[in-house]
Amino acid sequence: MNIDQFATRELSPADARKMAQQALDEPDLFDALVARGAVETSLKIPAVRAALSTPAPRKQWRLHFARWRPRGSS
Amino acid sequence: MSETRDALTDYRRLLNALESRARRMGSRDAESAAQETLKRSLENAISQPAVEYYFSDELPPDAVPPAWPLDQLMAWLHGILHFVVLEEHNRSGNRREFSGWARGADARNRLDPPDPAPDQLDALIQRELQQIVIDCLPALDADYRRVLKMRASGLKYGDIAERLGVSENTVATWVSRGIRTLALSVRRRTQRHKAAR
Repeated sequence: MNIDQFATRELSPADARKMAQQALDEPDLFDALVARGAVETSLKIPAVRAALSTPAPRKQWRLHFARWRPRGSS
Repeated sequence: MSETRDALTDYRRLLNALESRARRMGSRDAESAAQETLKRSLENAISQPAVEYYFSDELPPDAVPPAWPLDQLMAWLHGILHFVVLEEHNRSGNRREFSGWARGADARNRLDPPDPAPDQLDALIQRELQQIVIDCLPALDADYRRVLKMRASGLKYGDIAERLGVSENTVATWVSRGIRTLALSVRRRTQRHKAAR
């Protein structure tokens, strides 16, 4: 069983119960379920849907020359 | 009293998991925070059946699967725990602030504001989770945004596939990857939250 099975709702309720028990011993799985639940729940909220409509910001690359120092100069 | 004791026994493993999360969130009384979270979850008519189904030690053979999927319950539990730990921080902050001048019944009234009703608590948690997700949206590529938006507005995979001229499998993959990407950002954000406390 893994977290991706949640995306397509492949897990039966009984399997989900097993995963719930597994998550009690695995904090990473617990965290992953929390995050996925937050996303799934929020997608139903109009404010989040509206935010999805705003265009994604363009990635900006910045070069920090000012921070560069020759090796051994610090 | 005996109901509380039963709940403590029935959900011992859940309480342990919540307690260690509360500690990571910076709670000074993680055991009480975990118990309070469980109590509030069992008092809420919607979360109660989900907690019982997924986390009780013994599941009755005739148990009906709850309306909430597991991930929704986990997000809810995290939200409640976060709220309870915040309340604890606020109370200890208030105590420091007011201990110099508020005494007796007056002090108690000031230090222990009434708990929000379950509906208000639900709204608070929703708002917080919603803000985290909105903050994480810039991490999503435009294609993923587009399919997630269509899915969120109630379109079925078949409808989305027709509109975009791709197969249903492709739509399912995009939705799945979009949610995974967003969930990863949300997870990083909630972990940063915990580490910062």
